[in-house]
Amino acid sequence: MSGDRARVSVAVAVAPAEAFDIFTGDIDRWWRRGLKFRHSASHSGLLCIEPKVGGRLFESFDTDGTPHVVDIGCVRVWEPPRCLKFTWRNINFAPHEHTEVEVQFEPTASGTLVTVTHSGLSALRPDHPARHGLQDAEFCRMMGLWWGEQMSSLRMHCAAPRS
Amino acid sequence: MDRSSEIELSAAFGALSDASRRQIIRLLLQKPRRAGELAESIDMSPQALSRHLRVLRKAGLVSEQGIERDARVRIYRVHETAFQPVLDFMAQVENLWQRQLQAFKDFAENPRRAGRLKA
Repeated sequence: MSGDRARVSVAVAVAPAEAFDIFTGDIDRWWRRGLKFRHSASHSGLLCIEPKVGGRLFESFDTDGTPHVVDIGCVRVWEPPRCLKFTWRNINFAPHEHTEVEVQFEPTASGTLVTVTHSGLSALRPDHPARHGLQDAEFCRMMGLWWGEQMSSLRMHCAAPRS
Repeated sequence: MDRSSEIELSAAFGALSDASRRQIIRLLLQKPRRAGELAESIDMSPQALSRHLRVLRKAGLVSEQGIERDARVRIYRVHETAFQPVLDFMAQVENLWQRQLQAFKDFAENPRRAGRLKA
């Protein structure tokens, strides 16, 4: 799938190796808290990424003394200091709904440009055909691909000043 | 999503279930075009094209406009608002990642963190 992605970058004033280490090893310390960003809004929650291909990205927390572990994704690429890829699913995703997050660390004169690309989002669009009584699987698949292909041009188109 | 936008989206998906109509949208995403130009690009009779354009128009995906110097010529363009729910969703995801990366930057560049690392 090519175009259905959200891409965001930030420049940080540390070298790529350090940025990679912080991004992964300190993820619980910088990842924002609150229900918008974590399954657990409580301060006791812990977000962890296992540093290897096949490693899990998960959140663990207690609710009234009961421990919970929520798997968010699985590491697909672990190539410090340049590239990290993991699958990503929210708790409300259907089993077949997978997205992928790629994080690139590019050296710059003053540090690192960190770029997150979250792709495969068309499978999760809020207007999923399955929610409109259009149950045909082939149709859903086709539309997913089509939205994927078209997303970039749509967004460019909508962002461009009107002629 | 309320009921009326659900219905609108169903119409949009129905309209896009046809390969020729998707091809028309692709062409119109590049730039607004006249019907004749569209018919030529996708090798379709003007009658067939006109049927497809009618479906796209009814679904709100495409709008048509006359031009001043020739009333017979109609210009077709993609109607962006029909795609807005999808674009809104993408914008939400980007906004969340933007906030995450800002938090990452603040943490990574915090001198107290750097101090701890050295210590």
